[in-house]
Amino acid sequence: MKGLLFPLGFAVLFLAIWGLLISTTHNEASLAENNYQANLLRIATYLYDPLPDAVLVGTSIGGRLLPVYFESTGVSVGNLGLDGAVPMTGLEILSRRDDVPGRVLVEGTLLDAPPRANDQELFKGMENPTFKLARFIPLLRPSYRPSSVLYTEIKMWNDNRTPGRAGQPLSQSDAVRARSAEAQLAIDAMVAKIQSLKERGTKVSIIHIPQRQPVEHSHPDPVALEIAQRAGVGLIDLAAELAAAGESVRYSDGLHLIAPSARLVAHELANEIQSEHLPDQ
Amino acid sequence: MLFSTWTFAIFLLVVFAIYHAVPTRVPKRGMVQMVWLTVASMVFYGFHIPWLVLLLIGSLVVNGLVSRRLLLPGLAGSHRLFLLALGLSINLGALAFFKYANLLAETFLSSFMSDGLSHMLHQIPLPVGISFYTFQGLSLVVDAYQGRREGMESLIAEKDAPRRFHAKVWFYIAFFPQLVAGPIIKAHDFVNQISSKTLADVDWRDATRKLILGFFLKMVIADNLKDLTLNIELAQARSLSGLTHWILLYAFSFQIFADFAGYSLIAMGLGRLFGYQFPVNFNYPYISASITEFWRRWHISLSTWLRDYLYFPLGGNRKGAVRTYINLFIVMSLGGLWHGAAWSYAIWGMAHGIFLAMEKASGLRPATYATPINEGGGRTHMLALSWGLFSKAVRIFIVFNIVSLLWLLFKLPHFPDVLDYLQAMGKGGLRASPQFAFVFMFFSVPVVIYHIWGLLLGVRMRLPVTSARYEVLESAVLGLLLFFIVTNSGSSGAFIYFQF
Repeated sequence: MKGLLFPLGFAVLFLAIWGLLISTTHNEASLAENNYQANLLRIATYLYDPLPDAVLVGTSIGGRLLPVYFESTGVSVGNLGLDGAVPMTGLEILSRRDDVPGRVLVEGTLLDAPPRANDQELFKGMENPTFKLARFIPLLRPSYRPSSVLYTEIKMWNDNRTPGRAGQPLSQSDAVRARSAEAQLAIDAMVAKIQSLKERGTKVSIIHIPQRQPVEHSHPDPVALEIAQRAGVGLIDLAAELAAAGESVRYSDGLHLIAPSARLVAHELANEIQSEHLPDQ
Repeated sequence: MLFSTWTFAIFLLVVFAIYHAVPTRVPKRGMVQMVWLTVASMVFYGFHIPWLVLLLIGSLVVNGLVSRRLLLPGLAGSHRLFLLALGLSINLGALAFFKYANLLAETFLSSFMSDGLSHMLHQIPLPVGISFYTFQGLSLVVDAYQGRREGMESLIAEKDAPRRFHAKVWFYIAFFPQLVAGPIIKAHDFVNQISSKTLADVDWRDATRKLILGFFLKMVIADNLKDLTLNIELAQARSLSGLTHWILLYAFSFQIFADFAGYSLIAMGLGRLFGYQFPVNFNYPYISASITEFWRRWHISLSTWLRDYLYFPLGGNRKGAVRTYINLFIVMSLGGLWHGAAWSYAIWGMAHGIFLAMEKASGLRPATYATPINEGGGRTHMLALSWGLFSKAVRIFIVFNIVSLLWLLFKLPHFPDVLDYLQAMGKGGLRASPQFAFVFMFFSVPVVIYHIWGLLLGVRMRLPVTSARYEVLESAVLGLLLFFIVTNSGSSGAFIYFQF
């Protein structure tokens, strides 16, 4: 039995050291080295941490506005911007908590896209017993993954030292597309979902995150405008706000904000929330 | 049921507890334990698709009946030949129907096939593990036909006791650790081990070592690399740089090794928990300095099966050089096709067959590690040793690249996609996605270290593998691997070799 107990003992020792190290230095991962883990990380943070003031749901574009960027603003904003997923998935996950956030910010991208295989994978991942146990054992949480902790450090360091690239818009967002029946269904479902959230007392807004350079050339997706109008919610155009403030943003790949720009956008969003500029619903 | 799931953990705990709880005073304790493990194996196999158990039972019944008849004395030669043909036909027929019917019909009968028939053939499910347990059944029938006694004594002794005989055959083929993805165990390597087992028969150190290393390779390495190598299949990824394509290719090489070697190690560790030993299936394959050596290190249970039951009966290397090359080509082509019902697998096998034949023709010998690195002395000796190591390193690099390039046929079953990928590898661009590079580095380094360890063992350095200090060091390393299994596993996925 010694052959079994010794490795077990060492494993417990390593786990204790790692847990202590992460919790004392607050170096939990906020990014992950692949989309799936990054999504689980955001979902676990939303589900298992105290409910934030507001929650952003959306795609990988919104996923760049990390909760940590809001810490200095006085507004806590959770993030369900999920890589390779559609905003509807984030809205579905919102309802997995008994309590709902007071404010929900829906990223105005891919709002007419129905859930796909990636979204199904995420729901499957949430059913995994390890993910469920992570509620009680922080060491099992995706934010404690050694590879993700290291990746976060490297990515942040790299983003802070590189200038980034100019943006390019999502092809679907360029213009009004020929709408398929599937897209129409997705839009109707989104409107219904937003309205049901409103009925539960949540204030919902759609946000436009800049997607091209310069920011004044980045305009909200017509689908986002249509949904905002039909659901009776406001649209926060962060690109317009940044343009008015004379700010510019850069991207790691032409689409996703680099860390300094994401921080800038996050601060702008926090200002919007705090200044109560959101239209009444 | 996947080894890397909580369902399996509970299953294992229950099976293990009851298995070892059978009191030693119980008469025929060994038989009780064997029946229990066989029943548990059926539950394991049919957990998700229960009707598959019927197919497995069919295979067990046929192989049990045929092999027992073959072992009974006084059977005429023609009768024995008929039984052999019957056993081979039923086993290979089932394999052909469930695995290859669609491929064969599409290739040879596509112009005659109606839409209805084509649809029906597409609907035939591939029973998990059929390639593995069919090969085990075949080995039993052939061993019985050839009158092999060595390693079969325990089974031959039961030929007059049908119940015990069939119980042993069923257990040998269905034992759950190796049922769905090997190692392919030959009857003569296993049946003599069947007996009553106690906790004292469990080699905890070896079981722990194999289970932790196996789960680490599968859950931490393979499952994390899986999300990266997915990009090999994506057409939009062809716009990435040439370097990125090389990274993805190497990542897939490491993934397929970690996935399959991990499964084999888990199977061996589980076998140990029940007092059974399975043959080694992987022996640091990526330190091979020739394709011949690669096949002595990769999926050893399959390559030795093919050697014993296909290559040797075809004449092996006893019928001249040309016939040897043809035999190698045939064996490897069929071995390729064994992996999957697509011609890309056959091409993969053919390519390996051609390389093996070329090595044979050129007289290339597998590199040896015979010179102890810290023995001998003198400047000349050290120079020779350095040159030997350098040339070996170059050969290892070349063989690894050949093997990796051929893995593309596994990942991309359509040949035009393989050509597109090769073209993308050839284009310039040294800029790799930082995310890809990170995942590759983080999860490939352990596989590289593992193989360097194999290399060190190979050159017979004086590694203190039996000292008390080594035991503590090994426990610490295993503890570290366990730490990563708990904190850093990837998204769970089926074992790649389940599809074969």
